[in-house]
Amino acid sequence: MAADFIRKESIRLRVNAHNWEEAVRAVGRLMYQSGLVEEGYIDVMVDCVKQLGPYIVLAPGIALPHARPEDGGLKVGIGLITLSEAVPFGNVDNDPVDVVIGLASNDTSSHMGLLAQLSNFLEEEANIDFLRKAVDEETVFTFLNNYGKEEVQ
Amino acid sequence: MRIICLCGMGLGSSLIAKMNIEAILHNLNVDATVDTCDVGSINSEKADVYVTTRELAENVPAEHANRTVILTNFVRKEEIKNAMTEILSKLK
Repeated sequence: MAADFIRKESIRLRVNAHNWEEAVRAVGRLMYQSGLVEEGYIDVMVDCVKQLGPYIVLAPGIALPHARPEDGGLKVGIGLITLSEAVPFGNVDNDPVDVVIGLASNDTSSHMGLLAQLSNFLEEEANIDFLRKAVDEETVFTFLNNYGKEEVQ
Repeated sequence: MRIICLCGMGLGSSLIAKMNIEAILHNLNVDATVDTCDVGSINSEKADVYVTTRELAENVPAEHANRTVILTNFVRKEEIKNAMTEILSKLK
């Protein structure tokens, strides 16, 4: 995955979250701290789940919270956390969640390349297992950063 | 043929679904346009097939129920392929 999309600082592993909202806020804070979004974006991500429901859990155990570019998206990129204990988001098919990937974009199309890579990455069970077992952010960063590079070259 | 992927904002999961559906239909030699749509504008969108999640399915107008596909996993291409093949054969 291209280096611009993820930074080591926007990855945190084995985060303690008591519920889905804490999990979304935790990833949102990382995104804010690494300059992907304005602070207000975090609240909007939470509100979106409250209003629209837990449809953001797009595969078993994996949630993809996001808001709109105009809600304070500054750059294309992701924040990624894993949870020490999975929490329910209220998604019948894919609960509980222990991988939360926050998505940011500054417009409605610049993140297409990132989403395509992310989708391929998340389709492979082995990659999810790797994330779930990982304890070192640097290792995850390197793994994500190298992912898909062979195809590009 | 026109396919609409419905998600909350038309930016995240529905874009992923759109890309995967486009790739799958291309492989199946089905000529289709795949667009995304948010829950606010679904009523004004006309399509041959609607794709969404269980959580958002109630937003699809009831008259389209027989042309609506509910996906539980937006990244697993095998599941999407099976779901699309099934609905396409039903609509034939």
